[in-house]
Amino acid sequence: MNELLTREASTRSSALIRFGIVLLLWNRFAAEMAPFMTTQPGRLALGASFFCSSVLVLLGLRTQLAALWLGATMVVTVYGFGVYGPMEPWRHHHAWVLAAASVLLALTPCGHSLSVDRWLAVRRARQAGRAPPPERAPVWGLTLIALQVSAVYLWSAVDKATLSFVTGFELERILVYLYTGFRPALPAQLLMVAACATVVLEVLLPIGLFFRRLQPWLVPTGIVLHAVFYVLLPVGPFSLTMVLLYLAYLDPDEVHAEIDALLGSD
Amino acid sequence: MAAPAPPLRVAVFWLAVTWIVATPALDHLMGLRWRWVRGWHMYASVGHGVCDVTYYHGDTPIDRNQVLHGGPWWAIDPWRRRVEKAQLGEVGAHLCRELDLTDVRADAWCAGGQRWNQVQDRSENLCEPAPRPRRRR
Repeated sequence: MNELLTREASTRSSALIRFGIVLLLWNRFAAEMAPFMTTQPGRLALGASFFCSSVLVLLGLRTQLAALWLGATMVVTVYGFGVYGPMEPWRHHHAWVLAAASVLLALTPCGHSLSVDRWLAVRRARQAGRAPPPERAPVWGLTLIALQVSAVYLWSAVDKATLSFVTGFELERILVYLYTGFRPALPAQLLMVAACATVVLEVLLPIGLFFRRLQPWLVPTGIVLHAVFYVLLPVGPFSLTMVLLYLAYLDPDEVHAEIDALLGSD
Repeated sequence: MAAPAPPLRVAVFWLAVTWIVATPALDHLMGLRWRWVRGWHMYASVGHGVCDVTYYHGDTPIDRNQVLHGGPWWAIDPWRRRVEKAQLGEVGAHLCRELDLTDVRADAWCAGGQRWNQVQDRSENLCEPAPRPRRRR
């Protein structure tokens, strides 16, 4: 456990998650946070907090503090205005996952790479005639993000472990609602296979993704699963968020090396 | 051997782990639907009340999409061609008016939480206005 909490690794995957989360947050919330949407002082203040903190996080300026600020803003968004307020869509699962990821982002060294903070640190080192500081820091926050993704899958699998789901009834209900308007939406056997495959994947992914040997198989499988959800169901940014957070399962040093290889700088 | 992790980090880590892993258990395993607890019931309620319905005039099925929307089912936007439980009577009455019929009935199965339930078995004439509920004095 101590090893997990003290292990230092590349901070680039945290930085990539940082970019992705801010862009997804803007995609989901920016329009509703804008000042032209409300005259309520609380919502206006929330919007100001959202835009200021998220811009700082995206740029990577005072990143750790800004990420904490953004995480707190998202907690207020989801709980204060969604769960205990009038903004019902803000309590949906896609909003909640994004908010959770924002909070956990503050526990990662997400500003140590690809950021203004990094640029300033490198400049300071150069001016002092020292080597640039390494892009390394404790990465235990990534484990928490991975755990959050796994928890979503596992509890979702528990929720689906019912006769009505595995027999295909619930899938057919969704297909009738969104697509056909009549039964059978698909052959019964196909519905049952699709339903069972969904449950099996939702058990396999959250455990298997932690194992490096299984990642070359499970990461593409999970991405395909979410791509199908994204195209066929109105899941909002949920699929994209989950795929982005897969970065938390990967070895940060390998991600670093792959980026170097991509840029031809290895 | 690595130096021990700072106590604050250990505390934050275990607090987060507990929140992430254990709080949904309150909902999923213990059935506690507290507002601040997040259970992962994704898409569990989508489509509740949607119906698989065929309207009939006598024994002849009516193509409701053709009559109401002017095309076969596959040419109509999905959100327009679906019928929900609360709309069964309204759509039936609409068909009566459009086709100038006095007898239209429905065979309808609507989605509940666990299965398709039959809610119309062609016993009710949807062209007749539903009786008004009596006023209580």
